[in-house]
Amino acid sequence: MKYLKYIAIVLMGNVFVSCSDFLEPVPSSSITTDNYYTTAEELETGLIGVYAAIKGINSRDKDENHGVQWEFYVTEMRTDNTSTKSPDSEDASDAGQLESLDVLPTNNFVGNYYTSFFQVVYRANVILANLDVVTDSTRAAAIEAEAKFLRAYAYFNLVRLFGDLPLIDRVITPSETEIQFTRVSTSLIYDLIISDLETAINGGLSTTYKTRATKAAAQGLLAKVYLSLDTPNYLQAQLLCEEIINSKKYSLQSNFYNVFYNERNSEIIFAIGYNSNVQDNSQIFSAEWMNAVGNTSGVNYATTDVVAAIDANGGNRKDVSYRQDPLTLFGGTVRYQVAKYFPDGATGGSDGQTFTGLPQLAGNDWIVLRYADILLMHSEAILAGAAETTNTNAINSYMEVRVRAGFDALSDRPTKLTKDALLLERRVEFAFENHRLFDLIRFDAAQSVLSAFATANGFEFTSTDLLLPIPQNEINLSRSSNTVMAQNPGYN
Amino acid sequence: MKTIINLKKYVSKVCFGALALIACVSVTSCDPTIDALAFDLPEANSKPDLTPPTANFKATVTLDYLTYNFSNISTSATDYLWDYGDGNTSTGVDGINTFPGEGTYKVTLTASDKLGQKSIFTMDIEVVEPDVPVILPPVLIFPDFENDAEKNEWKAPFKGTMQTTTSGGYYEGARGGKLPQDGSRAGYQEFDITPNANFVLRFKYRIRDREPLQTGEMYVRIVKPLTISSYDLAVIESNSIASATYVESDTTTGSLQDGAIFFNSGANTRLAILFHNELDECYIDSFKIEVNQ
Repeated sequence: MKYLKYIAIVLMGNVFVSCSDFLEPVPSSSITTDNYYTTAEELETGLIGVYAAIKGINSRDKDENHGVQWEFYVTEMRTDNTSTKSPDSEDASDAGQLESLDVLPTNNFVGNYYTSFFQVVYRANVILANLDVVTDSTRAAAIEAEAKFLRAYAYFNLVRLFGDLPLIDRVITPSETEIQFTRVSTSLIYDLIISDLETAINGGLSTTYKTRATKAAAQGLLAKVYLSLDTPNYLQAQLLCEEIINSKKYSLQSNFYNVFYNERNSEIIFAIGYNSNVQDNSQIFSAEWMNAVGNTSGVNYATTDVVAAIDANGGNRKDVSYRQDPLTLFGGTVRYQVAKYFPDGATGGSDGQTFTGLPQLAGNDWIVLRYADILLMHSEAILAGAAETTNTNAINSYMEVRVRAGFDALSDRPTKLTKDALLLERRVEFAFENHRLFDLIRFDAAQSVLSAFATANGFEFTSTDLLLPIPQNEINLSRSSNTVMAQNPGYN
Repeated sequence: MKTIINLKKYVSKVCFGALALIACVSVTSCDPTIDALAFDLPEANSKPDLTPPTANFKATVTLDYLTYNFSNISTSATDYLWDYGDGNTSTGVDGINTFPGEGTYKVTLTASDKLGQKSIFTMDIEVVEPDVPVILPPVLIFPDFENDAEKNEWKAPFKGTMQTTTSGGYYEGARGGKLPQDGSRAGYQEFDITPNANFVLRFKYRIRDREPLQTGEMYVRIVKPLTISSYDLAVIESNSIASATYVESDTTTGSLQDGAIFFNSGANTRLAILFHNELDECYIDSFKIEVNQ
């Protein structure tokens, strides 16, 4: 028994030793945002993750974020450009609600876009919160510029679709419900967008990749922001467009087909990159727009309205823009498919459904900004909201786009450029590229054009339809906090 | 027999009891003071209108200054009445109205719900015919060099101050501008200008054959404001939006010539005139910028 006290001492010693870190190791197999970012290289991988959020997940699962892959639902399908294959004013499906301008706050596509793009904002904020791990100040500035470009891109789309929004300019915790659910006015959102894009322009961005932020992409986006403001800043927009034009780094493709099927060509300023045949890197929207291999109801089909506009004013852009659905060639109502984004360029043979690979794993990039847009924005900035202009520079930029489409530089040149002609040119040049809704709103033409289109198709349009509802899910979440989110007018 | 009498008694007792009960019930059932038996009156137990309508709208003028689009942003309402203040009314969700002429109109939107709750929103719309944008020519300071000190308003930051002259035949009015043959001086003046408009710069010039072996040249330019402090032709040329070059010849040395530069101001609110020379003496006078629509 006399050893008992020694045993007790040894055991007591163990108690003190056992409090070392040995028993609380840092888990080597798990990476969290708190411990991951320690070097500039790691932060760059996080930056690629922001692009992944825009790219979205290639699937049809409504619970997964689809990013820009489902953007056509909430933009193009709400205009006179596209509809489901068989438009139906009584169709209460998610897609039917959008085409008939009768959207419910519970609409899945609306909720998906909202969460997808706030995910982009969140991931960009994570990058900005970890900038201090970059020791090289030049590199830090470039990473900051890229993250802010992406945040501005996401907010610019969100603010145009939803109006007033929560302003999330840093990583917030789940308990910060006041920031999460307080909608601030669009002018404050635009202040953030403009300051982010100015940082991006002056941040020394690389020009290596057209599928990543560049100075010209930031300039072009900022030009569009200036044109979209309640009180547009036409002069700044014009200067930005001229900087891109005078840089001589971009040019129109002589063949309109190559704009879409020759990736990262001279006309592309910014695109969201996809790769073929890789589930994680490919896109599904190309297949979704062909109902033989995509969505059975057939979504984003060209309306007869846009087909007529392209036939009359599109010049040689017609065949690249749309085609008759082969499935209707053998009977049934004639319907038209978008031809700008066939899966990897494969048209599906004579029946529109025969492919060698999987059309659902398409690699077509999604074009966000291209040189023709810069040229037509240049004309728009000089027109400066007036009904018409005789300004030579405005007509020159407009004609550059028209001449590529096969019109004659001299005999087809107008003596004055009207606002209506410019809007029409944008419609046929950018058909199915998700520009139409924003163009109509920017040109103050949405109410007249969309109410006429709605009446002709048995839909009902009211001016409050121009903003989407805040997703019901967000409003429900906000109810458990002290800050209840307000719905947009016209929705219950 | 006894049982029959008992039976009769029993039946009459039961009948009386039933009668008394019916009488009792029929008396009390008509008594409204018994709460449990009172009828529910209309509106009883109904809730107040917790979401009364709120009327609101936005007005935007169209390209026709008399016509306005009205965007309805009311909440919790089902029926609308628009009164445009000019006698016109409508009942659609959104409104559109063409006003009869200039003036202030009180536009009223009455939004109501099916419970008869109403909300009224009023906005004054000022209908004004927009001014046709008048483009004014830029104002130049001392464009005629009538006094020697006026040359100081034409100092270029990257060259010596120009000179003025009273040599007969080389100016208009009292004096004119002069650049000596060594090319060390220049004239430069900034001015405010309306963007994206067409203008023409007019002036008089003449070259003098001071150096028989050299062919003088004079350059007159419209440039974006320059911030360089030393002469740099590449920067000057890249900032020029229009220019003219005059070469020494029998004509340009013979008498005062008319010079003109047509230009579009582009995306600029401020521009400058710059003139400089090489290899021989040059004269310039009577600058004027006109609108050229």
